[in-house]
Amino acid sequence: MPTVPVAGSEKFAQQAEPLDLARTPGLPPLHQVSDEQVDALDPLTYEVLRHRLVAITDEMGDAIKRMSGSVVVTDCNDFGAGIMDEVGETVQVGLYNMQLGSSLDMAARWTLAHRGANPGIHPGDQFLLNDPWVGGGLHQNDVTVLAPIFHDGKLFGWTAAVAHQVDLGGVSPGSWSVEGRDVFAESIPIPPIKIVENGTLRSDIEDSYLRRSRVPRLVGLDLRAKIGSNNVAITRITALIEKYGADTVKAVMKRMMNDAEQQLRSKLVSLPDGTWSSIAHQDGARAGDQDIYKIVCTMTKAGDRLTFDFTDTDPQVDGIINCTLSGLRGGVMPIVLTMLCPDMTWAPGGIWRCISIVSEPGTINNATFPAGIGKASVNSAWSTQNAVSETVASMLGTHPELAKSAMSVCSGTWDLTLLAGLDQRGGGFVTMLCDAMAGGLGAKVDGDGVDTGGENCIPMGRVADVEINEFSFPMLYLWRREEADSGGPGRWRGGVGASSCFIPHDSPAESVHLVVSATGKTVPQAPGLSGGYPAATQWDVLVRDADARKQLSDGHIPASLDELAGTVQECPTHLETDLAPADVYFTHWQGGGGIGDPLEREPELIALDVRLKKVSSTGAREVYGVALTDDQFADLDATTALRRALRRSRAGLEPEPIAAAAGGLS
Amino acid sequence: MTARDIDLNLVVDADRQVHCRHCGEHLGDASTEPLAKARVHERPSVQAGPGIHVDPATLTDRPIVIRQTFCPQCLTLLATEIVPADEPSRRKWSLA
Repeated sequence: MPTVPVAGSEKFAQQAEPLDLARTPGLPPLHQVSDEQVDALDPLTYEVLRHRLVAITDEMGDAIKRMSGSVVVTDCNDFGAGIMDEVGETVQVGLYNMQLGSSLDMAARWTLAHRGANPGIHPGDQFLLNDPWVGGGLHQNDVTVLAPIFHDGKLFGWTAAVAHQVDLGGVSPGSWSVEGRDVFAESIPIPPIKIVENGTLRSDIEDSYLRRSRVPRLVGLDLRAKIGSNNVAITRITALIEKYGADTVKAVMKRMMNDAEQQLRSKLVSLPDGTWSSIAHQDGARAGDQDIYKIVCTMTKAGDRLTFDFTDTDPQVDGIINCTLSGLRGGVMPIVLTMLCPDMTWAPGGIWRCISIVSEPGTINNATFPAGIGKASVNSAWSTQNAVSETVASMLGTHPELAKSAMSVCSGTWDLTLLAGLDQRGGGFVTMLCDAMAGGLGAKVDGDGVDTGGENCIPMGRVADVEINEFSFPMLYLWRREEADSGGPGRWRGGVGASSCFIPHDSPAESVHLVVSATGKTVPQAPGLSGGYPAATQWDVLVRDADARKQLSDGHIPASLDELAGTVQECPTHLETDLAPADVYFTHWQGGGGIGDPLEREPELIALDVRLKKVSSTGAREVYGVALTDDQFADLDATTALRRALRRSRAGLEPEPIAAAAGGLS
Repeated sequence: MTARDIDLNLVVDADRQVHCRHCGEHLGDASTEPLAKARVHERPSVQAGPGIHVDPATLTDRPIVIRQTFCPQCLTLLATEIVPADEPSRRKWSLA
């Protein structure tokens, strides 16, 4: 059945406009300050309170991690936290998943507009949502809990905690329904509902929320972690108000946004006006789909403003890879924060004032209901981020100092490995393997990308220890390691990605369920800059009926796919299957793009790369034009000849005439 | 306009003309078509090196190419992209 528009769903669609207070009935009394109060702040008080607010978002993160029981949260930091003002403008986001902090404002504004009158917004309330059309997270697994902060009967501001929940229902375990065509195959989006009322968790709402999950106890624990995180923030902010006064604290919040705006505007003015365009591809919208979809980004910098225009992006598709406007914004803000704002307060409420977005609803990164968005976060949102990253980095490259903040695209996307079934203790489990958090960072204009440095949208992202994964889930690793040639070649090499290879282990069930979903297998998704190559393609392999257990019992740990007997099955982009005890699964995620011509890279650096297994000898020869001695040092004479030949052949030119080459013509 | 570097390979002079930083070759106009005179060459993406793990023909019907742009004089690599062959390059820039 084709996806058709749903009448009534427009209530939940918004285009991230600021709240029109005059046209919003039912608002609680708002605590507001004047511009004069903001201007009157003394610098010392401002700095003390600004740092305190930053510390509070850090403390919110600590609270989530300590209370959650999900490895995705406790060990991998896939969550976000933020503080907003009374009208939902984001004052501060933490260093965790910044995609998740990019549309908290939308969620708070929608809640103000639609919940103020009924059921009302009161002290002690908290609202839960996972509707990406409303805001908050990027797909339904990103569940936000919003808490209003009241002081003296007025709404002072909001705090929000968001985290990836490992399963909220839908056709496939983990809610990654790879055969889905629209949102009805996925977990149900929940618009803001009052989950906590007057300080009490509502059991009827909680039951309704958890009933859909395959792991309700774990999700219930995460729910409490987020409520607790908000409670920490409310306690701390209330203490600040009691010490410094509500007007002073609010003036600091407003000034943090004003300062971020002014600092970004000032930085933009120092850059040349111009236009930079990029494109990001995704292969396969759902299982069995062999098409390739594009997101086109044209960034115009004029004076002190940036416009990201996504005209010519493909229409939304039947599948799971679309994202809503929340996802699109989640693709823009992390890049702006990390590349343009590394030296300033991360106050998205001020930064958004410098940015315009042009995007047509109904496109793949601004999808309308009921498009499938179950994998929005790591598909169209992430691809938006890749396209934005290219444009911003290219612009920064024109500035002698700011260029040092630029990177090529990092880790093209997430290589999803989802496991579900019975764990070694006989209990049901679902988990997203977060090893892909160790993606390669993009190269810089003056150095290589950081190998397995992470994701630029999650500065605090981590991978769980192998032992934690093996303890928590029925799996046994053969290896987890960095992979040669996974970083994009260039004068400066992109950071390498890595791979994991494991077998199901110790589950009382006959098999462990596996969902694979990873674009970037036909078109690599971390492009390079200035001639640098993209990072390697994504690569996932199943080896059926392998002899890994036999080798282990013989005292040998297989160290490559070539060492495994069995039937090799290259995984398509999307696949749902079962892992039998004799099966082996190998997942290889992407690194970062390179910068500059690979033939400009110092041969000695390549030789070192080969010795460190960052680059293979094949890659050294075919892409970098470096000939190696038997002991893997650079053969400079042979390298000169090889590079001279490669310089012409890669450009489609015939080899130089022998006499001319011998004469040393370049 | 003052001269400025655009990236590791390109420089724009005061007349908005784009040159190769390595050999000085004139490549185009920064306001209109910065790489108008550059050499472009395509080949199947499987020739892009060991980073291409699987032949894309096994996963999609669309041919995938590595499309590269070179300085026509010194053949320094100025841009690289791996894209469907049937799409024009969308990676462009211009200065106002």
